Parts: sequence; C-alpha cells; structure tokens
Amino acid sequence: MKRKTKEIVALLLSLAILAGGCWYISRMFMPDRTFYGAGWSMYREEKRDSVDVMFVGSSFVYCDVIPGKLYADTGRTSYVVSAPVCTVATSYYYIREALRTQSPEQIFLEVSSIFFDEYSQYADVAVGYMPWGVNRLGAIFASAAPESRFGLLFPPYSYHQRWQEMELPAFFKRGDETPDPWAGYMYLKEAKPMERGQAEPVELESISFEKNCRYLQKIVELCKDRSISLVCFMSPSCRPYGEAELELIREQLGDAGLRDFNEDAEEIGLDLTTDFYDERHLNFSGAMKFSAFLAEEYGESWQSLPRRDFDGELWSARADKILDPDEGDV
Amino acid sequence: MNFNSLEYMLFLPVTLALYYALPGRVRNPFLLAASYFFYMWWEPAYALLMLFSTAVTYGCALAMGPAREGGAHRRRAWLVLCLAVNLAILFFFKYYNFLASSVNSLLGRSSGGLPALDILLPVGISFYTFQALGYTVDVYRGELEPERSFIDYALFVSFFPQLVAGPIERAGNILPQLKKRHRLEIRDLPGSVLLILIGFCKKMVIADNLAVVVNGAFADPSAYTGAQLAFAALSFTFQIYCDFSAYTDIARGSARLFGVSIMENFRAPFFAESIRDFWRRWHISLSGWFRSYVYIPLGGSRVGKGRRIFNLMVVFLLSGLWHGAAWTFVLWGAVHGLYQAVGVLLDPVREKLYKAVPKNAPLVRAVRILFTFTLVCAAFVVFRAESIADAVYILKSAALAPFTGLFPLALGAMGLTRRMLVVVALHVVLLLAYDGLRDKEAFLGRVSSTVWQKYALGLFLIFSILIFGSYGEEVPRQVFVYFQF
Repeated sequence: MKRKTKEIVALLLSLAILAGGCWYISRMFMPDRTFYGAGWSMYREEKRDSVDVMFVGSSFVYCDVIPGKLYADTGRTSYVVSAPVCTVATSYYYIREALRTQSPEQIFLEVSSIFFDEYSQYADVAVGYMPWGVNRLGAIFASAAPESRFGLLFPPYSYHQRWQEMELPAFFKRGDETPDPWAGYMYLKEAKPMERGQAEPVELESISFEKNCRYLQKIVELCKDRSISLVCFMSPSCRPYGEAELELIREQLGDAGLRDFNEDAEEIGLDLTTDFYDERHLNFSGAMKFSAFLAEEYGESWQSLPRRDFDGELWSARADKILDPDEGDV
Repeated sequence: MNFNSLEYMLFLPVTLALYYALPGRVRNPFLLAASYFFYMWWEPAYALLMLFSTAVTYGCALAMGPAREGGAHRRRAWLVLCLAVNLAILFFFKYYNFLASSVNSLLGRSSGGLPALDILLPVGISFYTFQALGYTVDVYRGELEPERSFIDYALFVSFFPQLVAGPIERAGNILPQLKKRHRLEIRDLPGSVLLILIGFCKKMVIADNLAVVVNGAFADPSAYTGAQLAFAALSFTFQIYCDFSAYTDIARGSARLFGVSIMENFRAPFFAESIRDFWRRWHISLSGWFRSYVYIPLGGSRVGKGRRIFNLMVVFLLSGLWHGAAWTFVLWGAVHGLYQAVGVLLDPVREKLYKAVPKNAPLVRAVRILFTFTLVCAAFVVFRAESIADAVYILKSAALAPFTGLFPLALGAMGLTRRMLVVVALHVVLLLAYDGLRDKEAFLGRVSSTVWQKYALGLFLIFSILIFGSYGEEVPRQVFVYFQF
C-alpha cells in the first residue's frame, strides 16, 4: 500500500477507534438508571406506539403515578417520563424525545416546575441519560448550568473513573436495558406522618419564570400540533401552592386550563399519616390512591381512545407488581 | 493558562494555525502577543512585571554593548544594575514574607518586627527571571551579542511553552531559532503530538493520581504507618518527576510545533548511579544555570577540596531557596549539598573500591542506582513535608517500618483504589522502560515516522488519559507542582 494511502487508512481507523472508545466509555461507564426517573434505556425497550397516556414532569410525577395501577383499573397503558427536579425546558425536550417512539393520545404535565430554577442541580441525571440527538442537545443548553455542560456533551469527562468500581459483567452489558417493571414509577414504601400547610410564596425574581413560561407554551403548541390532549396538573401535596401561584399558571395555560388535584385530596382519600413520603411526594400507598382516582376520573374517556398493540404479558406483570411491590423500595 | 485545561487545548491549535497563516515578519510579534495572552490568563497585572523585567535586561544588555567594544567597568556596572533590579523584584515577591517571618521568629516577636505583606507570587517569576539574567550574563561575558530586536528578545523571555515552568533556556539556543522562518512540516507533527500526549499521560495518569496518596499522607503523617509513609515518599518522588517532566514534554512538544527546539530537562534521573550523576539528569536547565553562573565563577571543581565543598553547598542552598520560600526547601538543598560533599570526600575511597570491584558490573550498577534513588527519595521527603518536624517524623517512621511492621500495608486506604494503584504502577513501569531507552529522541522519531506505530502509541496514550486520568467534575484540578516555584 502506498504510504499516503496507508496514512489515510491509519488515520481514519484511529479516529474510528477513538470515536468507538469514547462511545463505549459514554455508554458502559455510566451507572445503570433503574429508579428515580430519567430511565431512558428502559423507556426505549417499550414496544413502539404501545402507550396510550403519558405522564411528564419531575419527581412529583414518578413518585405519585403508578401506570400498573392505571392499567389494572382501566386496561389502558401509560408511562411516566420524568426526572428529578425536571425543569419545564427539560420536560419539553423529554416530550419531544418520548414522541419519537410513542404516540400517546393524552399527556399529563405536572406544572410545579414552572417555579423551578433555570438550571437543575440534577441536570447530570435528567439530561445525562437522554438518548443522543437534537433533543438532548437542546436540553443541555436549556437546562444545564454552563459549568456542567461539558460533562453532558462528553460523558467520559464525568464517568471515566467508574471502571474502578464496575464488576466485570458491567463492562459488557448494561443492566437497565429491559422494560421497566414500573413503567417509570418510583416505588417508595416508607411513610412519614405529615402536617398540612401551604407552600412558601414564590419570588419570581429568583427564578427564570419567563423562560419557564416560554417552554410551557412550547409544550402546549407541541401537543396542539400533534393532536395530543394536554392536561396540566398540580400533584397532591401537604404544602400546595397558594392561589396567587395557581393564578400565574392559569394565566399561562389559558384554554388549556389547570387541574389542581389538591382540591380533590379528600376524594382521593389521602391520609397525612400514611400516604406521604415527604411533604411533596406520595409514597406507594398514596400513589395507589391517587392512581385509582385518576383511573376513576379519566378511565371512561380513555376507553374511547384507539386500541393499541401492546405487550399484554408485560402489562399484566405490571398490574401484578402493585399487588406485591417487592424490591426497589426506599 | 494551565497546560492541562480545555483552554490550552483550544489555545494551542488556534495559535498554531494563525502563526503559520501569518506572513513571516508578523509571526514573532504575534507569538509574543499570544505568549502574553497565555501568561495574562492567570493574572493580567503580572504581565507588566514580566515586561518590566524584560525591558530592564534588554536595556542593560544593549547598554553594555558587545564585549569586543571594551569598557569593562561600564559593562560591569550595567550588569550589576540588571542583577540588582531583577533579583530585588524576585526577592520581594518570593522571599520578603519568608524573611519577615524568619526574622520575627528569631526575634521572638508575634507583633511588630517586619510586617507581613499580602503578596501573590507571580507565576513563573523564578523561571523567566533566571532566563533573562542568564542572557545578560552571557552578553557580559562576550558569549553573546546583545539582541537588538526587542520583539525577539521579549519573545525569548516570554515564549509560552516554557514560560511558566521552564526549561530555563539559553538565549544562544532560542534566539537564533526565533529568527528563522519556520515552515509547518506535516511529517514533524506526529513527534510533537506524541511528546505532548506523553506529557499529559505522565501528568494526569501518574502524577495527579499519586498526588492523592501524597497529599493525604503529608498532611497528617501521624495517621499513617511507617510502611504507608514510605510508600507516600516513593509516590512523591514519582509524582514530582512525572509532574515536572510532563510539563517539559508538553512544553517541548508545543515549542516543536512552532519550529523551536527546547532543551531536555530530564534524562532518566532515576537511573542515576550517584547524586552527582542525578544532578546531570534532573532539572538539567536549572543545574546547568547554577553551574554556569554560580558554581564555575566561584571556582567550580578546579579548587581545593574544602573550597569545592563550599562551592557545592552554596549552589545547593541557593537551589533549594530558588524552589521556594520555606526552610524545608533550603534544607532539601542543604541535604543535596551534603550528599555531594560526602561524595567528594569519599572519592578516594570509591576509586580504591572500583579497582577491586568492576564499576560497570550489572549488580554494582544496580546497587548504585538503588542507593542513589533511596537518597533522592529521602531528600524529597524534606522537599515535600509541611515542616521540618514532619519530614523527620516521616523519615524516621519509614526507616523503622521493617522493624515496626510492614504489614498490613493497607495501601488501599491511602486514597486510591487497588485497581488504580495497579494501573499507576503499570504506567510507572512503562515510564521507567521508556526512560531506560538509550535514545528516547531516536525512539520517538522512529515511532512517529512509522505509520501504524505512531497511531497505536497515540491511541494508547489517549485512552490511558481518557480512562485513567485524574480529571472530571468531582476531581480538583492539580496544577503543575513547579508552578509554585
């Protein structure tokens, strides 16, 4: 082979090895993600176009909504696509990414995040586990603080040292590439007695309220374009926001409206001593009640949705799981 | 700007591209501006200090004029002025607070006495001051003509690859190279890039990982066993070598990209067979500077034994002081001076011994190398320790370790996981193998001219750095050790 050709071949091969190596480190060195949201590897194992309804937002969604319970009560499939302290901007990119493999008829969006800071301290998780593509890039620049963006763009920067703690099988296969038995829900067993109160008033100057509103509008528009019914809601809480904050959200949502499930706390049957993990998150008992309420409220309207081809065995297992939650509790 | 930073990884290729894109007559001014930009990344104000020092040495050398024009008294006056101004600046920024605290301690004053000042040590001041002074002395001695071009001279002083941590270059080597018009030779690129990668590998894989062990042990020696402290001493020896030689490798590789060849600063120092030999292999530019400008003017070796020992002690005490304003550095210098003094005194004994025992027999050489290495390690404990008391404690504990109990070694409790210790150890073995090559330049030249070998070595180094390197969000960045000098 002529030297020049050899050089080019060697260079291209080296670049390919380098790229492959970086890809390998990015993929295999990141810890498995099987709970606390951002479980994108498991989400992508879900059968394409098999989900009827999606629940999007922060931990107020993945702690409060159990798709297995919804399926057991309504026969309809759902999925929780959320992440810890998920900003509105990240939720927007989450929805865009989720719609690449699913086509839900209805999206429930938990909108407390409109009062979150611009940059989430959990961006490394919320964004770091997103599949590579324009949505991940969008989320990086919209939700991650500037100093953490490099690690999100180049994961080996954040995870290269994990080889020291990984067991041998982990170098060959990730542990989160099977369908999520909870379909995005985070099982929290512990109950902490709570007292009812009200959330502190929000100081709009201290958060990026305008940016959050902008992304909320983008979500509304996106759902409109895709003919997806959008339900914006506030999840049940021991310390719900006051009327002033709720009014701010209603102004943004306009016709889309806001469903504040705190108004239904009594009907849901939440018990402050047994149903809460902390003042903002339900535990399993509380999530079961809330999910049962959702099934009651929306189950009938879901029956009119087109029937999808879903994995019956998987969903039966998910429905069975709520009867015996097993491992994975906190 | 640190070499081990994203900024430098952007700065270098951009500067390189612009340098070769510019017409020849603009290149040196551009490179000068880039060097000042590089330096000002730390603290813009200190660039003024460097500029002042540059202007003084430039002006004094010009005022001296060429040696052939005579005027010995006038020339000496300019030399003295130049030395006085630059050493005064160096003294003020580096040693004033050390002097103040030492005097106050001696006088037993907790208040009053000499006031401590809030002075930040300008990065690289020891290096560029010595480099500039070396030039002035060379002009005085008639070894060099005074440089007329201020741009070229300023670039010699501030050339960014070697500005902050050396090597301390000679004007006679660098100035002629700066005046040449360089072309970017693609075939020379691999060698330079490989040298830079070797530097990063040494720094990030070996030095920065060992720093974890060293920092913990030297911060609180009493929390560690003798065996662990011995390991920490060994770790520091390799840390400082890898850290400092890495800087030189990156500096040399970077300079080569601009067509400038910088001297080697290390030549397999851990294969030295005596302390004298060690100092011909370690920080060669500094030891060369002291030899040329202090040791030889004092008489060097061409004097009686007593005077020679005195000259050696002066040089090594100054060398210790050059490293930093602390008694541990001075003591480190004194220890090496003492080693050299004992070496001089034992010369006759060694001559007799090597008549009976062949000096170059492998076993004899191995013993000499190990013995020298042990002495160097022990001295480095003094260098690194946070106080003389700590140094004594560590040396005593390490020396008594075989008697107090070597096991459990518990090296995994010193901050690095067992896996990382193994990886670092493997890299140290590879480093020693590389150092042990008869001609590293030739080896690198051969590898970088062989298609598959250069890419294989490059990939190995990149992946080593990527996977085993000490960097990341959770990892505090380790500056180069010699930046503090």
